[in-house]
Amino acid sequence: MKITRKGLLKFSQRNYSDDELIKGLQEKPDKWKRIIYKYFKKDLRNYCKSRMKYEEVLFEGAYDDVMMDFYKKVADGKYEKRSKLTTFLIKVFHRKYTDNYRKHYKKISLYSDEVSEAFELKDEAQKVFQHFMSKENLQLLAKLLNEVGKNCYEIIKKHAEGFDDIEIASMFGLKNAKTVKSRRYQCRKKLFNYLSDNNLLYEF
Amino acid sequence: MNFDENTEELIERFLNGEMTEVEQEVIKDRINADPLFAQRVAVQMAILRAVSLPSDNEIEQFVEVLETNKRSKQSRVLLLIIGFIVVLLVVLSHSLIKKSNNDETPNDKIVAEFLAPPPKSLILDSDDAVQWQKVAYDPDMMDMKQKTSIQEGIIAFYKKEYDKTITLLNSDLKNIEIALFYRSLAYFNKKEYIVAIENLEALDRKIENNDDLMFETRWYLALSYIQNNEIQKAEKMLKLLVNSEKYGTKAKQITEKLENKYQ
Repeated sequence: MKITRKGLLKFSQRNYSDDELIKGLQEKPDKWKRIIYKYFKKDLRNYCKSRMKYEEVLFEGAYDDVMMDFYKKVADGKYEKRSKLTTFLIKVFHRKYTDNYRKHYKKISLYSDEVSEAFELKDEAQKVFQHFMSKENLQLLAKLLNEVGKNCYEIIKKHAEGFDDIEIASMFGLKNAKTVKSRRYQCRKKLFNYLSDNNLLYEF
Repeated sequence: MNFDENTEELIERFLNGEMTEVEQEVIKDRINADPLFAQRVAVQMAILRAVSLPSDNEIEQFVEVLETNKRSKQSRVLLLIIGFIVVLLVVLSHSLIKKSNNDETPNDKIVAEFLAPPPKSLILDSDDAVQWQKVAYDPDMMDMKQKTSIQEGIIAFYKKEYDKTITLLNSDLKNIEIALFYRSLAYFNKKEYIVAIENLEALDRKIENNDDLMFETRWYLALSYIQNNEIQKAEKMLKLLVNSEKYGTKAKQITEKLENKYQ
């Protein structure tokens, strides 16, 4: 085993409690911004690599944004401790990275306010989008898609995370990209029909 | 509303950014003009959004695994470091012990050639230490306790139990020449040359009417000087031994070696 200075420093890095980090950030922001920035980077990178389609540049951008938002939230006294800090940061990071990823590849943003602005939505259409993008309906859709089939959920999830159909085919042992596309369509159809049969679509 | 594949594919291409700007404009117009089409777009977008957000449970599981891994990694590294330190300490102490046992002076090789234990004839008629007949002092002048101490101290010396010798031939017996001699030699063998020199010098000043013991004392004093790197004093002492029947030749030889080395 090669013992390096960096390795020893990494090992000697102590574990901080969430309260210590927040208190430090409130009392000595300059010092603690540096500590916090380094402290979570590896964990979030691991998360990104294991759960999403990892791209270094996009990771760095998203990570910087998340940290800036977090520092600001703490400075403005708007940070509320509802879960572990790591959990909170991962949640924010996931959204940020997905959004950056979609923007980078010129995909349509999945956030209703941005969609509303970009599509110049008129009243009726705007209501439709707001309806489906509400927190309750998003949770319901995720739950229903899971009920349609675990594979359905996972295949669409990978698609949402930016993996292309060839990659998804190899992940799920499917024949080719066309099969993936067809499977995705079948899943959405089942879900849509379920929504329709149960009067869960928007009522015009 | 029919759920047709073509419309789904069209919306997917739109959401994936696979359309030209003109095509995108057409879709945007259609969204505003056709609420049912807008619903299809909204559902497909909402599905993507719904699955792209990890559940709290999923994140908590990840964090749990992360923390467990961190803890086990840290304890593994800690164990490794402790193990490394233990090995290091063992190796270090082993080499220190070895060094202290083998603490060579610059003249060890020269002295080693000429080193021999003092003859038991100094104290005995024969090699049997138990007989204890010809002691080089008057046993009648000492009490029994002193006599026993001296006997046991000298026996311990020949058994190479030098600490025991030093304890038994303690400073209470400093006026008894033979006790002081063996005490000095015990220090010499323990490589404590400075103490050996102090004792032997005291003895050299003190000896009367005992040529054997005087030559032995001077010989070991010379060797102690050499070991202590006091070469001039050693040479002076060796000159005094030139006339000795036992040490005359050895004194010349060792003087030559010292001259070769230091001149």
